[in-house]
Amino acid sequence: MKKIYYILISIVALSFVACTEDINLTIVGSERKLVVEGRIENGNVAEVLITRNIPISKSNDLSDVLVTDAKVYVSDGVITDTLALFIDTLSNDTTSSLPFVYFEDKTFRVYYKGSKIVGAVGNTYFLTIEHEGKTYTSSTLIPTPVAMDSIWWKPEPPSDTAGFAWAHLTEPAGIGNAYIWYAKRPTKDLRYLYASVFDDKFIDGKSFDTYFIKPDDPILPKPDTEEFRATRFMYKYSDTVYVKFCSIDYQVFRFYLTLETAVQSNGNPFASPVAVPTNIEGDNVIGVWGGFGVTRDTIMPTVLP
Amino acid sequence: MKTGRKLLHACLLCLLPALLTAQDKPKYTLSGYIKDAATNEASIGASVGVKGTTIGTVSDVNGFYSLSLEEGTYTIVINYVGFGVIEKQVEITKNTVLNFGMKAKTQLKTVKILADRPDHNVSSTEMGTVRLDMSEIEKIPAFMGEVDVLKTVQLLPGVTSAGDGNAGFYVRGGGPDQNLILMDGATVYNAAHLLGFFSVFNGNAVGNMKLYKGGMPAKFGGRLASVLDITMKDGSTKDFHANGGIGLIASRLTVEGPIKKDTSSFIVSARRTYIDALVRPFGKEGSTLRNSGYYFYDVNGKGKFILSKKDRLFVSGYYGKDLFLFKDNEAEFNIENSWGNGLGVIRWNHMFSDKLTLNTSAILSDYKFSFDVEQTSLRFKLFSGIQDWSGKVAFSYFPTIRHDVNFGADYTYHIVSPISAAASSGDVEFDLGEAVKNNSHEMAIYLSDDYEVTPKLNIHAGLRYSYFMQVGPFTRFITDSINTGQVIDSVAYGAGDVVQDYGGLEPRFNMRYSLNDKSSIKAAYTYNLQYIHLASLSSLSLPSDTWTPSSELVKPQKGSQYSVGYFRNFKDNAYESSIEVYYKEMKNQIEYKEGTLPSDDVKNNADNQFTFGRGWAYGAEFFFKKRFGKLNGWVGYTLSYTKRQFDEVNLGREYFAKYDRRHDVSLAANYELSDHWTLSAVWVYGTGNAITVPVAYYFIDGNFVTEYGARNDFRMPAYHRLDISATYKVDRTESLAKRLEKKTKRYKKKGKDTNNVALKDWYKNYESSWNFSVYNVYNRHNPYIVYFASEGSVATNDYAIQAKQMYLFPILPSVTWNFKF
Repeated sequence: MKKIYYILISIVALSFVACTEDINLTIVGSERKLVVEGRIENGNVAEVLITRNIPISKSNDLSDVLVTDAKVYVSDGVITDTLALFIDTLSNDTTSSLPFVYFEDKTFRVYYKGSKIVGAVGNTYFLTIEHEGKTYTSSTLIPTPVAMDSIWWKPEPPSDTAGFAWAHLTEPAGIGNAYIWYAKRPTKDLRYLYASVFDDKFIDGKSFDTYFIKPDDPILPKPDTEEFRATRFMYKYSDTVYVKFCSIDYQVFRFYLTLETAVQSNGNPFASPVAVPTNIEGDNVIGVWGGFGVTRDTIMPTVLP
Repeated sequence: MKTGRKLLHACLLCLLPALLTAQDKPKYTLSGYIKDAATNEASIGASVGVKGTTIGTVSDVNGFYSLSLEEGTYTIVINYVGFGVIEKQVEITKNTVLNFGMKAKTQLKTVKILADRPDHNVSSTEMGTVRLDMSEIEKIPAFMGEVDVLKTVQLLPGVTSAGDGNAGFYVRGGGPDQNLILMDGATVYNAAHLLGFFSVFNGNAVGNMKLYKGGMPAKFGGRLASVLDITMKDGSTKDFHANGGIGLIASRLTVEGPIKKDTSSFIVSARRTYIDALVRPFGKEGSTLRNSGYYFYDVNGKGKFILSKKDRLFVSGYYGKDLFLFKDNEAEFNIENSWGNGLGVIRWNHMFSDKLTLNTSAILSDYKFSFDVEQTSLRFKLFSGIQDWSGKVAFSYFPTIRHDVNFGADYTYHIVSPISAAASSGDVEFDLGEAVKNNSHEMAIYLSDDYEVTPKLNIHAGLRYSYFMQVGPFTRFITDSINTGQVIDSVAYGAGDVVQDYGGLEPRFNMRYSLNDKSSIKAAYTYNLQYIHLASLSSLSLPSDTWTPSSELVKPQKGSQYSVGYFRNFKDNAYESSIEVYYKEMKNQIEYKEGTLPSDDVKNNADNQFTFGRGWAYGAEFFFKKRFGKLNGWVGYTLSYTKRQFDEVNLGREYFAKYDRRHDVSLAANYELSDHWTLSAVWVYGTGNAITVPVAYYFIDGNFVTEYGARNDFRMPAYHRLDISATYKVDRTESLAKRLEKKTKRYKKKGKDTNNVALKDWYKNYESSWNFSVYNVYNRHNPYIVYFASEGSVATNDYAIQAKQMYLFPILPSVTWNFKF
């Protein structure tokens, strides 16, 4: 909606010769905050990535973004798993959805990884982080997964070789479910990337077709070419696509939904400030501790006639 | 503060009966209508004074005046803007009716800016009230040559504009929804065309306007901050006239005249912008540009019928629409977006006696917004609107010379359709929920008296009781309070079921104490309730913003305002000056909860996303005006503070409202260079808007996310701008003489009597003028929006955030041709 008004105002404004220019503003930076990306999926151990925010006053200094001196614990109420720091170099068979970073010409990721507790549907997991004398806590549930009835690729006119991923979903009756769609092309994508997050507010108990775009890896450069723009969000007929369709609880859904809005509004002059909520308790902390009820499926390459 | 208010309430309650029973010596009434002799149009706000006394009044919206006088002989002085002064001796031995026909002084070289009795500034009890006549508004340099009432209002002290490209205004720290905008008594819900670049008020159709920013009379209510009362022009009952103009982006035409001479008249005024038509040819056949467009049009009409000596009927209407089309054939992506107001008013004016008049109105106000987007097989539709059905009964009663009593009742049935959506994919309709309409009754009764206690002391006291009732059918969605607002249940109310009701007394009190005939001190207290609200998620006012009535969650907004002022005129009322200070408190203010997303309103009640807090504002306003002479105009300066505090916003800390403006200066000057050239200039300065800016950023899932600092903790650069304009009135002396000569020759040829040669009236009256204006003369880049964009890339380790500003209007010259006959 807001985007439409962006177009609209631009049209009106352009008719009157509107202009944009850089200005210099002195902004006092914020306090340092801990940024947590924690996740636990059914059938997998917990993974927690911890970083810091970067005050705008030192916006190009990324040297102390990664946090590696925290103590991280996950408990299922019975046993406690102490997560250990784990360095993951680029490998294409990884199942994790956590992002990679580029640093000094290397691509890698550093996160805390569990070993004792494997996520199970219906269980609640408690997270505790200790860092610089402060404690941060949260809890999350792995909801019951809902599988897609079928998934397929379909060309998007006018193209006959590029298109979206389509799915038929039968949404279980009863309001309160939320979903997140991750996808990964083997060898082409570094990891599972999320394309869309939605709840059943409008689709409760319905059976319908819907499409998902091909997600971009935010940290990869975007070529400024017409070809890239035209098919940026589409798969090729020859692509194999691994899909991880997850059920999430409402707080985790709100986190990702607001995040999506916040990311889209970056650099949009008409956006109003979006504060991304967090389900982690503690002083000066941002982020999420999410439980994911996962089902998996694959779109196989299409043979063109 | 509380004791103070109680005391005031007590005073008022004691005062009212006293006012009404106060008796004077037997007196007679002098009353009548003041009209434009040429057009028969009511002269609103003409001052009626009795020479050698302080007795006086101002004619009402029908041009009616009434004075109470003891037996004797008096000289009555009528003074009306642009029409000069009439003096007439009258002997009062009984109740007397005396009508005045004012002759327009078009031959007058200096048109006086005079809307009230000459000493109105110091003599009336009015505070924080400004009346402007179209003749004054027309003199001010206009943006793209389009004379705009709202833009002029923004030049007054205590009124803050929201910047370029915005018709919204903020009065004494109030929000844009706290202004009641009336056109012939009908509420205008969205006064902006073209996203605020223009207002809906066509300068050619407007008769006059009055803005109450404080000391609101009891007859008005329902908004906390101000009333902008706009009256449409009456058509002439004598002869036909037309006027219009052709500008760079819009053209307009007005036609008026008698339906039946002397008893009825009409006026129709229309305009349309044509930027779409100008831009389109640049697009290729079938291209997006060719198929897209944006324009607005509006039509005003008014009919006046004199049914009898005592009865008049007025019918007025307005319809305006903005339309935006976007068609991208290649991507099969279409948008159709439209919004507009429709207003209809029927008013019957009846005079029971020269002391008592009644105005009864039936009013319909309708605002609709629709948005339709289609992409291949997916379709998405949005709709919202508000419809008001109102009735008003208003009595004016002049029992004795010292009282001016107004009483009456208002009723409105509001039907609010919050944003409702429909979406489909192929044949499957998504369930976006039934549009939950809000139906409510709002009513009020009021009584006020303007009472001259002694020649030095004048008191205006009023009391309004308002009542609001939300009724079914209505669905209340129940949200999970522990979780983050997820809808978990709903409660349905049947048609007519009372969902919630509120009511309360709204006391109003103004007083004036004259220090001498040149200066006075005034004080005012007003208490207002507001039952219908606007909360916006965006930092800009958008046509999709929807009004929300009070409900069990949304309590009425409450506002109290205290103001004190010193008023002084100089040099025989040629100069006016005033200093007013005010303090204002507002309760039950509304904001969206932090983290609310636009989609949260769908299949939910908007008010489930609201959070409530308080606001307060205080300031001082300085105003100096030169009313007459070759050079006239005004200077205004306002110093003000506006704050808000919400428990759930900004961590509960108080913050400045977005439109908090420490300093606001406006200067409007008009200089009559010669009979043909008039020059005018406007200079404005305002402290920058308070905005929320990013203070840090972070990465989630590899995405760059902005972290914002404290609410409205940063100031945009200051806004200032100079506009100038020059108007040239085409000299017709020669062409008239030539025409007469030609005609005389023709008469001679045909052997007709040359003494009877006369030119047609319309030709004689024909006038045309060229207006040249320059907007933003020194090309100031005033920020429209300040935003932040990231540059560089993490991969190359040169990530940085750059502040950017968008400004709308560089220096912009324009030319408009206007005509009338």
